[in-house]
Amino acid sequence: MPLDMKQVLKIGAIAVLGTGLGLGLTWAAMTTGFTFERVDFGAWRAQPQAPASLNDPYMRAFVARNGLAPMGAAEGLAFVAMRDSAGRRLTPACDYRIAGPVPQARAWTISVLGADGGRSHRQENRRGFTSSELVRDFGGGFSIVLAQQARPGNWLPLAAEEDFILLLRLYDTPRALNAATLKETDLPQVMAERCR
Amino acid sequence: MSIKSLMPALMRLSVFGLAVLVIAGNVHLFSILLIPRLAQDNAYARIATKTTEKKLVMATAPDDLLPFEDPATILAVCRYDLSAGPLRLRGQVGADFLMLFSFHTNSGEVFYAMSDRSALRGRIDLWLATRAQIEDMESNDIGEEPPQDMRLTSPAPQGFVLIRTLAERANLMEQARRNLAAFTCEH
Repeated sequence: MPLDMKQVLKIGAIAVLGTGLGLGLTWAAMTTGFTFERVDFGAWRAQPQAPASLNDPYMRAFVARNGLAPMGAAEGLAFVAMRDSAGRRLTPACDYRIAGPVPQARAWTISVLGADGGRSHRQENRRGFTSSELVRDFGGGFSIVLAQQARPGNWLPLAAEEDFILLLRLYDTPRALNAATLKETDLPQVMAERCR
Repeated sequence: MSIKSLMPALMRLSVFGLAVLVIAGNVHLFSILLIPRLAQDNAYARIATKTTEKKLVMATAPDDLLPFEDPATILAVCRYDLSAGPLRLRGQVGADFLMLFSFHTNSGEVFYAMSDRSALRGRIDLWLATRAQIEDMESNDIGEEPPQDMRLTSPAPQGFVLIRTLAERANLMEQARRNLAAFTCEH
């Protein structure tokens, strides 16, 4: 049975619309970082951890597109914060305080990175703290202040006019600790203090 | 106009919509699955432009090599191609230095990871090889003694090994860098 013009047009429209919608969904998934795996813990978003995360096709695509080299379960866990604990985007116009619990690990670090995950801060000053460098209070707790102007205690400088993100790396964590067993309250808070 | 007279048009419209959704679903699924194969600048590609094969390359800064890396760490990478023979990774882990090893294929798979806790008497001595090469090595083993080196099968002939070490204090940075630079990766 020969197809009439109307049917050809209809099939063509289905193909074009379907392909467009499908690729649009893919683009949206890549730009928003959608994944099946649960990744958000308050301010922090878990970075992929091999091998578990790589079973998720969305995570695989995200890792490949962004050139990430995920840490293995025997290495540790990583988190990125692009927003503060109130959900507002991090900006050098504000001062921030990072405080609270950190899950058990042999060592951990908190660092300031550029918004694209690359090198930030053209000047060669302090970019992060390791768990053994921090000045702690009597209870063993800590607080880190991020600000453009120098502060007493654990101060991380922010560069004016330069957007940034935070990287929290936990090294050599217990095997039982992963994105599935972790709670939001296990991680430190990122609180905005004073904004200009 | 009654609902009844609209029914055929509505039916046609919903069949059309359903067909669009089925196509969209398939296109979406396939494109997501294809991205890891098609991505031009995955971690392997980024590393390939900055390193030579079978040579331990120290990154000047971790975030010069790969995004979202920890500036407190020192990073070294060893890119390999096993088609020319297995790779041997050797070195000494420092007593108090955290050292992490991860093994990646060129398609982004992480097939093994370990820390300095896996070192035997402070030493790492590891062969990375294809399945056929491992079988070859096993047939050459003599005696009952189990081999002293670690043997690891790579699921793909090409890939890279990342070694990260953490200097927990700034004054330990030089020592950590020396520890890592003393590692070798060769035939």
